[in-house]
Amino acid sequence: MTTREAVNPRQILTPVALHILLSLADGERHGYGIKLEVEDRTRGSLTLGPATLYEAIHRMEKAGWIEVTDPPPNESPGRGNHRKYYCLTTEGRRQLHAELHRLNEIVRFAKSKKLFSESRPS
Amino acid sequence: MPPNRRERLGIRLVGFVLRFFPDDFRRNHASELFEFIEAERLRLGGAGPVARLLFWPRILVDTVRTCLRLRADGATHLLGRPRGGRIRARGQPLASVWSDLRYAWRALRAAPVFSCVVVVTLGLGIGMNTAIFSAVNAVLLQPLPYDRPETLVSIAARYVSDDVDYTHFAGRDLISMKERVAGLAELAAVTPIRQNLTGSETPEQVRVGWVSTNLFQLLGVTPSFGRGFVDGDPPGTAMLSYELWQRGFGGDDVLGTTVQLDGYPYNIVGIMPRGFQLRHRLLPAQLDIWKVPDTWWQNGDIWGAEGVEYSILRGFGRMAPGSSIEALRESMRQVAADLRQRVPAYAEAGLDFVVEPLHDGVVHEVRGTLLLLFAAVGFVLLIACANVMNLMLVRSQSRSGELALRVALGCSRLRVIQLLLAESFMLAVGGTVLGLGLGRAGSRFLQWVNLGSAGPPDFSSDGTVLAFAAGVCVLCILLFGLVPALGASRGAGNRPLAAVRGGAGIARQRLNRTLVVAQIALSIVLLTGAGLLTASLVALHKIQPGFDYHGLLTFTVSLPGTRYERPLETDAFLQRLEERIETLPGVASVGVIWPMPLTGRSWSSVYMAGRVDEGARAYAGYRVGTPSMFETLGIRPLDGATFGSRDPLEVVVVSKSVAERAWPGQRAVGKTLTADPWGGGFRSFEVIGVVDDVKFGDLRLPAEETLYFDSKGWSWTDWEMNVAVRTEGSPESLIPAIRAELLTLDPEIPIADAQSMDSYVTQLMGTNRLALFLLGCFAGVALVLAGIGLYGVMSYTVNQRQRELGIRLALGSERRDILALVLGHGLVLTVAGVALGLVGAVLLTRFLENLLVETTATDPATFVAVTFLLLTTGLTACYVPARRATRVNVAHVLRPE
Repeated sequence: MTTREAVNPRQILTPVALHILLSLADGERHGYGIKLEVEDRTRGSLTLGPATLYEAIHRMEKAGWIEVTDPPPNESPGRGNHRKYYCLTTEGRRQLHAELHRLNEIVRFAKSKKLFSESRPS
Repeated sequence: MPPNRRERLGIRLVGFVLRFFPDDFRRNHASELFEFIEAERLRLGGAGPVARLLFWPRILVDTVRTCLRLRADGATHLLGRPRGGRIRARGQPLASVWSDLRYAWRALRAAPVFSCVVVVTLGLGIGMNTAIFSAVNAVLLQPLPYDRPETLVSIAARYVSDDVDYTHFAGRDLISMKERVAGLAELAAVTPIRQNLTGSETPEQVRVGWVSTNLFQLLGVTPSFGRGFVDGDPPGTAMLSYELWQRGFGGDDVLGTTVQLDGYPYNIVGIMPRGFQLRHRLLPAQLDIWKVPDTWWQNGDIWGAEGVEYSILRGFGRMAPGSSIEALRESMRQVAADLRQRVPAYAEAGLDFVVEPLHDGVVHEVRGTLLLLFAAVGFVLLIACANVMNLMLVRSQSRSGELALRVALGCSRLRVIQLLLAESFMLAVGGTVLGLGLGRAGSRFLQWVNLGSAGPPDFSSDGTVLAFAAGVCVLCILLFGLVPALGASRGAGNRPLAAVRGGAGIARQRLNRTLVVAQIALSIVLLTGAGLLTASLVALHKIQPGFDYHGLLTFTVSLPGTRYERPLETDAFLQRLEERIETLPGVASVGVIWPMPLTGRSWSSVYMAGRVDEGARAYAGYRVGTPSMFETLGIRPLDGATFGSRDPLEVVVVSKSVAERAWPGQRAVGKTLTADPWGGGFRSFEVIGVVDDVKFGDLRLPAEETLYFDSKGWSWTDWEMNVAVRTEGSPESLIPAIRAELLTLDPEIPIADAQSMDSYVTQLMGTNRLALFLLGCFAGVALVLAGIGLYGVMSYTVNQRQRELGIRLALGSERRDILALVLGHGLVLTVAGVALGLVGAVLLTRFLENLLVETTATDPATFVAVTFLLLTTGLTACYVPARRATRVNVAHVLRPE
């Protein structure tokens, strides 16, 4: 975790972008799959509307953070023949790490001020 | 779970918003987005009522917001802004628009009467336009519901020498076209017949279409159930319309079973989609059963018959890729030329083929009326806009002080225009919303009265209609908003503040007056149109068709060729039918005739006789009937006898016009004429009687030359024969008794199309009456609007001139003089408008000509009446302000300020 110089403190990801990148961190997913995973992980506190989701996907694709990939072999094509699967690019992974690093810095700082205890999520 | 109506609307709305997304977004993600929505929709099944209620609004809001975000900045939106959002700088256009709109809203709320008058006026104008446009859109602009409808053509024959414009052709002709015309990828034909659906408790007469097996493939229509026809399907294969399937079979599974037509079984292989119609100028809107041609007509070789008498087909073609309609017409001309060389009868008749885009043929009858009405509502909208513009001018006048102050304080002219346009925008949007509501009601009404005779498609407001209304709204803003705004902004800067409160600018007064004159002129044009149509309708009612249709009941029966040997058995049946019905109480007489006058069916062919021989052949309407048809229909005998005991195969009764043309100045009775009523070649007939002319087809056209043949020996099968019953009471009340009589004669022959002739005549005048009614409404609204406009301008002028009028009174003018002064002023405007309008009317009413009956497009009586009406309206509108002018309080207006 020594990429400090790569992180621009002015540059923070929007929550939507962060969660989409997080969701793709452990493998490829299709758009609706991303939405379900985010909803599940945040226990419903972040629900993505269809247009919002695809807007972010659209922008990330253009920025080169994610790209379309083949569906996983065990997935049957079925009726979802329009479904495209997305995965992180190297640049996307770098952006995610930078953001996580930034958040981590903040958390460390907050802890040093004894603002919250580590044991219990607020 | 398929989407319900609300959900379909939601999906359509999302689709609509998506149109405004950037192209690459739509290309890459639109289908995924819809799948997302579909997955969510299906998941919604288990959700609570609130979640369901909010589902579509949430999705829509999300879509609209995303669209705005994507459109607002091209930059990446993945990164947040650590220093908080930028605040828009003051004076940026968007912020000022918002504040202008709020300001305009408050200003309009402060003047509720003004706002309501404007919104209602615009609402009326836009509503009428939307309603008529929805009809224009549904009937004229929407493509036919077939595959690639723009490449479909209809094919018909015409006989140039015999003056027949549009008619059927024969099976051999179709084969020739198939072989010779490269521009046609596919070709199919249909002929409608009448048969009786039997095998159930109450038999029903149905319309049956004999079709080429490739017809539905050609149209690109697939059946809802079962299969379509394929090459090699034997006679006896049939498909049902969805409607008959529901009505006659209760929607049961009938595939693979049989349907009985006149006692013969037909295998049902498919059901056509709901609402499917075969649209063609020469076809009834609804056919119930489709089948492969039977063997009992021309031994089943419907495609091998040739000649005028076997011309029973209506053609449909699909143009080959890359071919044009002109090229197609050229090759068809070639085919016709070859046929004329080969078949002498074709050469005599002057056979040619008519190829036109299918859509043109379908809308051919209503196009004129619709475009006329569309033009008329356009006029109403212009008048409405002129009215609103006048009101806006007056209003901006009263605000000129405020505007001058703004300019003095450094407000740019652009900002003043923007402020005034904001007001126009609000009013126009209000008017459009009201107009859409009115338009919806109006289009429902039009659909109800069935504008567009051949079963019009759905008139519902769709995207095109909405876009049209939005376009009209923008047009209104520009029309009534921009001109006053430009004027006001110009005036505001140039004059010192103090001077602004005085009289109106000369230029603006001139604009006011010009608008009023224009309004009056437009109203005159509309009123003249309405007046001419009224005159026509009155004339139409006065036309004598040559027979007495009051108290006449008519119905049809169709005898199956499979059970009735023609002619002996069919003759006998008709005779027994006449005898049975005659004995019913309330029946005066009964006759059989085909085709019945005014029912829209016709049958014409050539004849040669007397003087006619010397020149070209003559074309006459052929009628066949029983001897009692003349008495029953009330056709007046003029000379000789009608059919009696003579051999019916050798005699003919002719109409007066035939006698006058063939044997001018001589007695026709006893002469001979040559005709070919049965297709077996020409033969001689002796004229035994002359009867009065009868209008069999269009009441608006002169009576057709007619030959009457005795049906004895010639009555048909598988065709509707019209039975006419002269009744003494109400015609319709006899229907049950006649039905019962018919069932005792033959339980498998139903009565069909039972109707009184009076209602036929009413239907016949329907299009004219509807056009008249609508045009009358539009003209009425126009007159009222023009009156209001004139009244508004006169009141305003009187207010402006109060001081001048006060001085006149103080200097000794009589109140009578003041009245005359103001009235004279109004009269000048009115007369100017009337004069302009009359010129316009003379130029424009000629487009009405084909709707007019025995009335010329420049009918003097109508023009005088309309002029009088408008002058009266004008004077009334001026009188009230003029009276007020005479009551000016001299002391009050002359008091120093």
